[in-house]
Amino acid sequence: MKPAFPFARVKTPLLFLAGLAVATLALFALSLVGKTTYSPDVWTRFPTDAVPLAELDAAAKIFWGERLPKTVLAALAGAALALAGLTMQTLFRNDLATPYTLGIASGASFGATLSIQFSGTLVAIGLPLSLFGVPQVVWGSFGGAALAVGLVLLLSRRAQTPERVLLAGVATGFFFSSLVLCQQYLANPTKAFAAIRWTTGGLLLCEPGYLATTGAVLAVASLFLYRRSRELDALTLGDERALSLGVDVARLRAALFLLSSALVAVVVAFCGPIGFVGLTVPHVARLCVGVERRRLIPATLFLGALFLAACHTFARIVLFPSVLPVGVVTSLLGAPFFLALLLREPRRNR
Amino acid sequence: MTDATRSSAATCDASNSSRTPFLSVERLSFDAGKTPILRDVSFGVARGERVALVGSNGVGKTTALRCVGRLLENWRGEIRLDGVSVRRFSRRDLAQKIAFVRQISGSFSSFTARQLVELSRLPYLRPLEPLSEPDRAAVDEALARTGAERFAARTLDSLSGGERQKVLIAAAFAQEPALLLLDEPTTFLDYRSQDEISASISAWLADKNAAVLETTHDLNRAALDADRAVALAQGAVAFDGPAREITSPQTLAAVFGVSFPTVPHPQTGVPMLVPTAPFDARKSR
Repeated sequence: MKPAFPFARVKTPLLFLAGLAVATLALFALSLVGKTTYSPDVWTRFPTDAVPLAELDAAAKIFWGERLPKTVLAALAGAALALAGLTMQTLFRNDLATPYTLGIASGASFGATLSIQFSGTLVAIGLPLSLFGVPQVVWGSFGGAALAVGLVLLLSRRAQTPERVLLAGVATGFFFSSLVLCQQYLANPTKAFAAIRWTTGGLLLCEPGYLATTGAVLAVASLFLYRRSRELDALTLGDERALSLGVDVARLRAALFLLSSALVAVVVAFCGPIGFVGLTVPHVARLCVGVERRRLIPATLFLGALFLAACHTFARIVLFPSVLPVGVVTSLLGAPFFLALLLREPRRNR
Repeated sequence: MTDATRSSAATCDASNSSRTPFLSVERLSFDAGKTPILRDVSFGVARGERVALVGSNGVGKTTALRCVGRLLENWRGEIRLDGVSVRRFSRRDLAQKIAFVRQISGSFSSFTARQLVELSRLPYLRPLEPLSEPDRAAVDEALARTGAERFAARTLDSLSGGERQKVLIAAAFAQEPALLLLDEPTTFLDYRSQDEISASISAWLADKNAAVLETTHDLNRAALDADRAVALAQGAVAFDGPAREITSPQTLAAVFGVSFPTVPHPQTGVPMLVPTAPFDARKSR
């Protein structure tokens, strides 16, 4: 019998290693491309303690100091957004649930702008601007995201149909977006300009802490979800089935709630809201490896990383010398791609 | 085998003059908001026994079943397994004892039948632990018992209602429960699927040291399939006795306050309800 999915017969560890290898090579290759495309031998001239970045030649300086970190940040953000999408789809048992459609990204933007606006106040009352090495923007954005997820969960408890859950999400999104606009209107010009980053989404900056924070949140979330993949499978089949299979549904849901908020929060704090990754990537991953979380989670991570890294590279070069916000590219590519998949799917399943 | 199991259970009961069934439901009450659904419902299910919980639509059969499986929590009274309150089990331990098959629902994912049945081993596995040989054997046996192995590789959303129900029953078998709870297992299925599914449940029960509690509003099915029937009316137990008596005109009148024509089943002699014929049809006979 023909397997249901293209990679159904490939063993999971093999899939995992292949994904890792492809992702590493792709990130390296994508970073070579740009205004001047470098030859791959820059990888031999990497910065070390003996030879710091500043003493390298121009090509290596730009490659190791600029392009690679940003590409890696794009990859981490893409993986985080895709995983957040998958987590929300499990949490809400709805394939259209994503950080964007449910207004979580807007909530995170609101939290981020709020924390920027009141950074002066924080300093004035003697509070630190970072906690556990995580800057206050991330905490603000996490608070906003958690607030939005909580609100949508609360609303969706009363409106049990998937359509109404989405409508609740859309309303939540608009609510927080207008709050963000309010703030920008009221803030002074410098702060308003700083806040724009949290409404458009782009990889303009890659400061030292970004990679570590995003990587840490992503690693914790991925490991937790991967470890619980069987319980998540049960949860997608309904709360009752999960309960009768011995899953502590309330605690698992709470964990999914926190993890998806944290994933969206780091991405929004560092890159702004980037749409369509959480919708498109888990969907494509499902078409490739099927619905079992044990395979779906790694596939979603790697596809998400590759997708956003590629979009980032495209955004850098397509309108050179200006750099397109990466969110524009993901939506421009993602929307038609998703529509094509949506229209193709019925035929496939017959 | 069936008879042997049952008669040994019967001897056991006889020697123990005080009957302690495997599952005992004692004065179970449940309210939905302020509306009382169940009031002081008490009954028991012995090992090797298949008990049908009958009653008209909306009488609380499913609610009672969900209380027993602890899918509902805020009930009053006591529910014991082997004398131990179900409240004292962790979810995981309870899942090793009780499997629950809910009424067929419309939405289904693109899990394959085998993946769904494999998921039933969850209460026995640590996180990320692969299925062991015994796990696989349990899955294969369960699929074979319901005849679902023929379509084990197909996705659930491509199966018919009858096939899907066979997969769900197989999933419950693979969980290796001591108590199998079935919510309307044969409702909405064609007669052939009804017979096949009911026969697979009886055969499973005969082979395992387990018990079955199922809800149905189909009194004929209850009278044919079950050993004992417990009828609920107005949220309380109105009848508890041999299943074949549930369709007798006396029981129908006393429990449900209705009368239907019955005919003896050609193979067993158990009275079977038949729908009342329209008046004109009676005349033309």
